[in-house]
Amino acid sequence: MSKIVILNTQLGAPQVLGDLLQKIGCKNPGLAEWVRQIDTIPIIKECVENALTRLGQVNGIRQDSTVTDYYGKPYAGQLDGSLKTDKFPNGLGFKVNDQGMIEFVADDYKPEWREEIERLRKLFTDAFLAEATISILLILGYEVKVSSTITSGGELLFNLEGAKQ
Amino acid sequence: MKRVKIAIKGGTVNLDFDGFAGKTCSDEEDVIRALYGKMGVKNDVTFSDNKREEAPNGIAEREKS
Repeated sequence: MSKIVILNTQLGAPQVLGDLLQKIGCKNPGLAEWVRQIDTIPIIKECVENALTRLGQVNGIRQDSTVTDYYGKPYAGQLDGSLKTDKFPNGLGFKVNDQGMIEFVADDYKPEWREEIERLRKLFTDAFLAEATISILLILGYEVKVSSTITSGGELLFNLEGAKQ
Repeated sequence: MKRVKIAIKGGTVNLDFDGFAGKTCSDEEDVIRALYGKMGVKNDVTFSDNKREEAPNGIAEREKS
């Protein structure tokens, strides 16, 4: 059988989707329990690092590890990385909190900074989605091929193909 | 060979399953969606369609899931 599914996604705190686990558990209780127990926080951190590395290779975006505020004072908290551009040299920071939720850190004082923060946040979300998808497919035993392109509108388009016996 | 082609753009994930026996692609979809949740990716199905085997290019027979 073949099937097309379109998902609308949003980043948030990691959660156990009870209805899905119940469906999985009806056919394979062991698999449902494995999904329930798996600690994804280290995988989320790795995906954030990989997404930042991938975006750091996009023209005009620099990968970094710090962010500063309007006055040039560096953010004192722990970051998993940051992205900077000429329009927003202070940087947008990324951190994975103790619950595994991705938090964004930036000084958005200027309106033009807010636009750039939103653009970087959207690019990061798609890059993280791609990395999360790669991790999931590898966990499920697929061989994975990835390609990415930037559209004329400046959006990233990721194409992944997973194959397994 | 089981294949899944995935396109990601603008927060939308398009999954295209091929080569699965019976309804096992729906089982795989459930596992992938559950793992997305565990990875902090909230996800809702906005479209789901079983393709006819003789029409693998997406000319599909609509089937409510």
